Amino acid sequence: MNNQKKIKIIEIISKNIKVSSKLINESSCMTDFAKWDSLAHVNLMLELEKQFKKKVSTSKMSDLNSVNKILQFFQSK
Amino acid sequence: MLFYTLPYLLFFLPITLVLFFYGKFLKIDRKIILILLSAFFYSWWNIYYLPLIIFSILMNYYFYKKITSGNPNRKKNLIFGITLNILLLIIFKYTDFIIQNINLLLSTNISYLNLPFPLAISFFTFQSITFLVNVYDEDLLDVKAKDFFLFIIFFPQLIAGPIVRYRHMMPQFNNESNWMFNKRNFIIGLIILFIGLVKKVYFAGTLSEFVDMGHQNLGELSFLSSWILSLSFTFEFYFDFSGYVDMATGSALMLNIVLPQNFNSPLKATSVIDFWQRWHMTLTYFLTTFIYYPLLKSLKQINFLSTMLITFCVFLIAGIWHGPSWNFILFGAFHGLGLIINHVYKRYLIFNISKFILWFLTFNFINISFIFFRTKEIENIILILKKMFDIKSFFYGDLLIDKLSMKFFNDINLFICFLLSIIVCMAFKNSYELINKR
Repeated sequence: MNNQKKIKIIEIISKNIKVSSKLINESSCMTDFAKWDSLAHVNLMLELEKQFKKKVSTSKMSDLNSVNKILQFFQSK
Repeated sequence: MLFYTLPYLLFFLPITLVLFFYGKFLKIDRKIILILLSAFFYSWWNIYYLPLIIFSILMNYYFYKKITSGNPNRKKNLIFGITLNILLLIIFKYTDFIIQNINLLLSTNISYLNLPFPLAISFFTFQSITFLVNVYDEDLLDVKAKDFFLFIIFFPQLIAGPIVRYRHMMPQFNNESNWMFNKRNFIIGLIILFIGLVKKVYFAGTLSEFVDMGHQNLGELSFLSSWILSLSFTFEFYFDFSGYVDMATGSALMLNIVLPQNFNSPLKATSVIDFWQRWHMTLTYFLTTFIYYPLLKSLKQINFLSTMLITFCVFLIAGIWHGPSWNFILFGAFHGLGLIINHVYKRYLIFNISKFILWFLTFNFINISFIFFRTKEIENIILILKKMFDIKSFFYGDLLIDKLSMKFFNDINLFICFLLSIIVCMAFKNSYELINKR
């Protein structure tokens, strides 16, 4: 994946779950951060949709529960 | 047919295993074998309900065809399909409850319809809705009628879940290596089935006798016995439900099918949010994915207040999904309220509380909420709660004198079962952790 895109996604995650981007890596997932709850997750998905102009269906929203899955999803066309 | 009965354990399951693994020699399609056996399993209780589940399967397959036909009205077909599923559920499960409340509110005298309540309708309705949304969202193509039939009617998950997803199940059914007998899966499946059996028959069975007795003699409750009664039901409910799911998981694993996890030691939860991530996890997934997220996404502005209102509504739905009665709605409302308090604490009040205190508060919250689940009459719910918080009687020595407390302490089998329940729920690993070890 394009490194810049990856950094941007991690920054968006960091902003929405209110956790420093230094603490987030590819293997991080929702359960690792108490602040990454369902409310933060919806806001995160909406922002990622807007930034990368790619629709996230509600079934996909539940599946994208880790940084790795999010990176993979937004990498694919 | 129920998993803990002899016809299932001694005849149905062994015959299913033999026919499934050696069907090749009989030249019968494995999926057809499983469909026919599952239909038999479902019909065992009442064969008259079979047409309804078949109708539901055919109806949903029709909507699958419509959604994937390239027709521009995909969304309309999806909405129509979901609406019909919900309508079917309402007709068979909630009609008399609606009539009862109309009669109460408007002082009318509309007769009850006394429609049959088909077994598992709540589960296969949710599973069908999941399927249709996944078809719409992810363009699930090339779903054969027999595959969809099997997905809905597969006997281990049919009666009490877990609520499974097509994408999770079908690759397992299609994988030909899963059609071969696997000794390891068979043994682990058998162990999990046995664990489930012990949970259901020994733990839930022993505790349920006491709980039933307590509920028949609520007038005699004291401070102490009200707590023993509510705690006994909490453990009974957990063992009953998770035991049944264990038996489903074990049976499926013997057929080389891994069902999704549905319980993750929920009584160890340290918050209400944590509890719903551990209790009936596939229902939580359904509620979050198909009700909570779509409702949130439909809002123009997402803020904390709107999120909390939606959370509350989702849990009202979760409550009534459990049964057509006000106590279930109250159960949902109580958990909705608990979740709101939990979110407010997380957002605004977070301060360090020891994990033990968090667990203690959560456990008591769950214990109280299960009173709403078990007790149908509102006045009896109030009665039990009054007794549990009647601190006065505690100080006046009204402890061991009531009949129920005496029964509890004198019945050594019951007392040991209760103590073992605490140890198993709090200190032991759960069945799914055992599967993952393999």
